Parts: sequence; C-alpha cells; structure tokens
Amino acid sequence: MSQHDTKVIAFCGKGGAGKTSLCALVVKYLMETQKKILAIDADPAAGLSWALGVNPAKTLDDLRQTLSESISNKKVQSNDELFALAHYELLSSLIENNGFDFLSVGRPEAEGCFCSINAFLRHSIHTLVAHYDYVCIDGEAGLEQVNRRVLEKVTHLVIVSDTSKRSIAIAHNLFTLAKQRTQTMHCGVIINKWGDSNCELKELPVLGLLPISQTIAAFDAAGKSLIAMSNDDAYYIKVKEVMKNFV
Amino acid sequence: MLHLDIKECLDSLYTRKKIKTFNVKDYSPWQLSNMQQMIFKDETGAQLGGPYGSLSLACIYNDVVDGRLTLIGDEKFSPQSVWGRLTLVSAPIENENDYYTHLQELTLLPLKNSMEGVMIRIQPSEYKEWIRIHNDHIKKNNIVTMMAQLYQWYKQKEWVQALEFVIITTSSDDVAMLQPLVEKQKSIIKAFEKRVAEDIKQCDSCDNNDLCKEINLLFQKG
Repeated sequence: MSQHDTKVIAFCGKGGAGKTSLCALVVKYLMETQKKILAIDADPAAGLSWALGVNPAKTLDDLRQTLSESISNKKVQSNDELFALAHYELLSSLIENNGFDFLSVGRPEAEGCFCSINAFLRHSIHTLVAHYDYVCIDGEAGLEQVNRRVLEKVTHLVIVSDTSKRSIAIAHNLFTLAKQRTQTMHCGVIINKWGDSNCELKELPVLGLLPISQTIAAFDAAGKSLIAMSNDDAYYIKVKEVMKNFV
Repeated sequence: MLHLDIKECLDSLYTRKKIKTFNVKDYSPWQLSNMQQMIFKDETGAQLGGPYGSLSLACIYNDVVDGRLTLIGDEKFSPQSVWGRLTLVSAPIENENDYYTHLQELTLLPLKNSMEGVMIRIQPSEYKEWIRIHNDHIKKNNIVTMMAQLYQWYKQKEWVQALEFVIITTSSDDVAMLQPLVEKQKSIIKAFEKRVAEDIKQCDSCDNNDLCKEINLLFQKG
C-alpha cells in the first residue's frame, strides 16, 4: 500500500537485439529480491507477454479505445468520471501474477488525436507505478514512444545492441538522444550476442557483454517462459551481475 | 415511475433470505486515510464486486429511513463476493441540474475520500463498483463499519437530508435485481441530458415524453 521510490527501467534498441529476453530475465532477477515489480510490454509485437508466460486479455490500447468511445458516446460527462473510468479499467487490465504484475500497451494507436486521453492514461499509470519498487518496460526501438504512450519518468535506460554495425550505430544515436533529453537518467548499453567480434564500441557506456544464449533460443523455440530458466544458467548469471551494478 | 420501481425492487429484495438490518449511526465508522489506497491482489483480504459482478447506484427517494442499512448477505468479509449497492437519498430537487449534479456527486463521492485499507474503483457509466480490503483490515472491520463511514461522507453534503443503503453480497441473481433500476436511471439521465441540451418545444412528439412526466413528478416529490 505504501508509495515507493520507484526505479523505472526501460529497454530500447534495434529490433532483434534481444531487448525482450533481457527484459524478461531482469524481471526474473528482480523477483529474487522479493520487491514489488511491474512489467510493461510497450512493444506492439507483444513479445514480453510470451517471454514472461502471461496472457493479457486487455491492453492499454483497448483501454484507450474504451475511454475514447465513452467520451464520443457521452457516457462520461466530466473529467472526474473519466479519471474514475481510467483507474477502474487500468486495474482490470493489470495482470497480477505471483512475483510480478504485468501490463500490455498493445498495438499503436488508431488514427485520430489521443493526446488528452494519453494524458489521462499517463496520469493513471503514474499513480499505479508509484506503488512498485521496479518497473521494467520492454520498449519499441526508441524512448520517445515509451514516453508518449506509457510513462515519462524513466529512471534507467538500458540500450540493447547486438554486434552489428547498424545496431551499434542505433545504440549510439539512442544514447546521444537520451543524454540530450535528461542528465539525471541512468543510461547504459548492453552488447548482446557477443562472440569473437571486434566491433568498435567507441565511447558507449557499456554495462556488460552478454554471450549468445542457446537456452534462450531453446525456450523461444518451445514457447516457454524465461521465468522458468535455471538460476544456474550462465547467461542468466551474467545478466544478474550486469543489472546488480546498474540498478 | 422511478419511485414505484424502487419500492417494487425493495419489496422484492426484502423477501430474500439472509436479510439483516442495521443502523449505521450506531457503529464506529471505518478509520480514514489521507491518501488514496492501492491494494494489490496479494495484499487483498476481501474483494467485493469488480470482475465478480457488481451494480451500484444512487437514487433520489423520499421514503428513506436515515442510517438504515439493509444487508442481504453477511456483514463479515469473505475473500470475494458479488457486490450490489443501492444508496437511497432524500434530497430537495428543484431543477434538472440539481438532480443531475446530485447524482454525479453521490456516484463519485467514494473516490474523493479514502478509508485506511480500502480501495474503491468505480465505472460510473456501467454502474460498477470494485472494492478491495487489505488483509490487515478484514478482522477489525466489516461491511457495516464501511457503510458507516460512507454514510458520514454522504451526510457532509448539505443537501442530503437522509440516506439509507441496501447492500447485496449473496449472489449475482440477487445483485441483478437492481438491474431494472439501473436501466431506468440510465433512461432518466438520458432524458435529462436531452432536456438540458435541446430546446424542445413539442413535448408530445418527443421520444422522452413519458419519462419527462416522471421527471416532473420527481421535482414535485423532492
């Protein structure tokens, strides 16, 4: 019931770099700390729900549509009613799991202006998030979509890159943009699928180099939740080490 | 007409088993909190309504016994149950605006205040209410103390002359007995909105003519 000094960790980076698996394993790691955790799938591909083994019936986009229709149909007549509706629907969209809670953002918005509704939603999410110790957001490629559609106050940004030149260039851009936006946010880069590559990392603030994980590939192939990954798995142990220092 | 509908509904509800009456004025109200509560599933000792089915509405009504709580179900909390709440309020009604704003205030009032260990969520247009009680508060409190606090909040409105509650926690079928009142309330509010929004000169040709006659009777009764 009490309010927390919430750490909001967002994962960004080029598609295919491994953001979703990493985010899921960070949720697994944080579960070990017995803290209150909210996982948010902000990627329209909705991979985090698979990786965490949850099946959301409602997304924030559904909620956005509900609010929009309620305004159009004049079912809500005041801001107070809209807030009441947003809080109710947000709670009904929340999957309350053992060890972590989960919200799915859903597909990108339909045509039309959702600015005012997004503002109501962000307020409701902000109120909800204040009750968690950690929020892990699996984002789209960039941070802007996370800010616009989910939450403005990201405290920790993890940029995930593989060893390809393009992915590293995107990581550079994201890091530069993040630093331009705020000096207070903690920001670091994880190079995923690290082999014998000698790629140039320049001045990127590298948090860690993670190897290619056969376990993740096997779990993905079988459609299994990464929460079930062994605590002794070498990749998972490395993720824990990296994140322990970062958050 | 709504008054007769309410009376009919109450008469049916009073035939239910497990019916108890309380005077909430005789009970210490639930302790207050100065912040809105968020109660997660793993902290929840009791859950009322929400996904388990709920209907909650307030009606302006004259024949009210101030402070009476008619409870269909048990006053002790069970882990989860359906939730029906009919709040009957005696209040002077002078115009459309009064009626509409009073109903809005009555509906949203639980969100403007807070009880320690009680989370209330409301879906106003669907008349849904979802209440979670924290584990730490289920033993020393019950539905009567919760309604005693709600009573105090409502009574702080200077226009509330008297109010009583009917609470249903027994079954979805029992809660559904409030549905006709909800439908009537929806149609009355719709008619009110039309009256306020449009300058209707030909009442005889208006779809809401019958309802408006009832609305006029509400003013007379108020």
